[in-house]
Amino acid sequence: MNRVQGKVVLLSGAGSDLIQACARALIKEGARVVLADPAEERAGRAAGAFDAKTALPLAVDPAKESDWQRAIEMTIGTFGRFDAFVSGPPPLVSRRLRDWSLTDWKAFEDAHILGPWLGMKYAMMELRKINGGAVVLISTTLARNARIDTAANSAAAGALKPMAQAAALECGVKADGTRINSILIDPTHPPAVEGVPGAVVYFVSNESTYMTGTEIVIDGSPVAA
Amino acid sequence: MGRLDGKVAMITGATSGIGRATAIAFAREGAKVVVGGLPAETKGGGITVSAIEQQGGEATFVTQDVRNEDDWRRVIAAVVERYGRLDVLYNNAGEAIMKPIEQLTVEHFYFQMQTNLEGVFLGLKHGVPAIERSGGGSVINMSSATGLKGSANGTTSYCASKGGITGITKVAALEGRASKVRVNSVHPGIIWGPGMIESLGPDGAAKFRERMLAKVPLHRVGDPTDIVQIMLFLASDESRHVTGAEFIIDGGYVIA
Repeated sequence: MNRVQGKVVLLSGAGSDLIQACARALIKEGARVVLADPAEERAGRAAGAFDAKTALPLAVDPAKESDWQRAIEMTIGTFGRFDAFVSGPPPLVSRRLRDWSLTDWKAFEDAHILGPWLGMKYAMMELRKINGGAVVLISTTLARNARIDTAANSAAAGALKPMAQAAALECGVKADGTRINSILIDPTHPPAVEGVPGAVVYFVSNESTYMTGTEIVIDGSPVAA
Repeated sequence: MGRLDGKVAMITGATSGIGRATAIAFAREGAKVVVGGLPAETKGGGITVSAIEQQGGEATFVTQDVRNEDDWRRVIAAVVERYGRLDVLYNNAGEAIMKPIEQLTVEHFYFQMQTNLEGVFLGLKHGVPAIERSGGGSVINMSSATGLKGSANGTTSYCASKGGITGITKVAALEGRASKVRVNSVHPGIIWGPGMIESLGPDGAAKFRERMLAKVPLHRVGDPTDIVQIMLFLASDESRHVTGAEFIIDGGYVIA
């Protein structure tokens, strides 16, 4: 019941069932959470499921740098500390590559590559002040196990994994004690949600202090991504 | 008889380095080559075209910013108008920004994503239909060893852009299956080129080389000819059963 006792975790994509389940698991193990979503109303609904003392809703436009800076400030301002950032996965958009307009493509990239990068950047800059901070990027297995009509999601999935490793190496070079890991899920099967909250708790907790730049694959498949 | 006889190949950023070396090799093997490059790289494009013409080959330089969709429409139309077909598209153009994350700005990030990932996206979007109309062919996307595994040299945005190419390549391969358009990615490790000295300076480049060598099991840095060999294979019909695959040419960097 206290695997992440006292820790404060910022989660993005809070409007989704997956992140909601992650927040529930973290709170159950003693954490307090900030639930960020681009839509204020969805963030509010997500936080409404929990005690106001343990969950704060926050509207964060993932492509807006100042929103991320504010999110970290609000997290510390409200709960007095900041221990981990968890980024929600890119959603599945089923569309043939050639049917993507450049405008839509850029918007997807902004939300699901730039957004996690910005969140990670400002989280890293704050987490280096403590020892034992964690960043968890949830992504999908699509960069390895491809599916038709998933170009944008696969591009994001391909981007996030080495990006997380590069960031983990930067933290390692500075020996600042921050771990950065990925969780890769199968985006097409709701049962993939099973196990993800547990993996998030593990990566946020001190149980994973010797793990960084790695990924846990949770897709119910015997073939590793 | 050349390995690429009768084929028309378009290479973006073929105005120097690996792009130029590949263009010259493609032409030597019988392909007609369209050399793409930014307006500011016209001189380099001219050098590539002259080298090809001197060996008796055929090539054309076209100005192109891979980030610009109108440029892609114009260039693909020009290729088809001039040569009647497109068989091979090699999305080679790319840039590298290396800065620790706290110094990396949103503008840096956008530049990296636009040049590398969006350039490939637009190439696939506009190039694949032209290759389909020619009865199928090959797209080669330049990713990187860092498109598979992070590196510690301030590469968060570079890794994101190259990793994106790793991902999009496989989807394009699946989507091209019915029309026989094969799509593969190439992942070089450290390749010694003029760009390395340009961006890091002679001393910086030497230090970087020394540092990287320690991480390469074969203990050598690659040169453009290491990449050219894979490009010839992927452009030719020798690779007719190969699609959605990753070709890692890195002296073992990724496994180390």
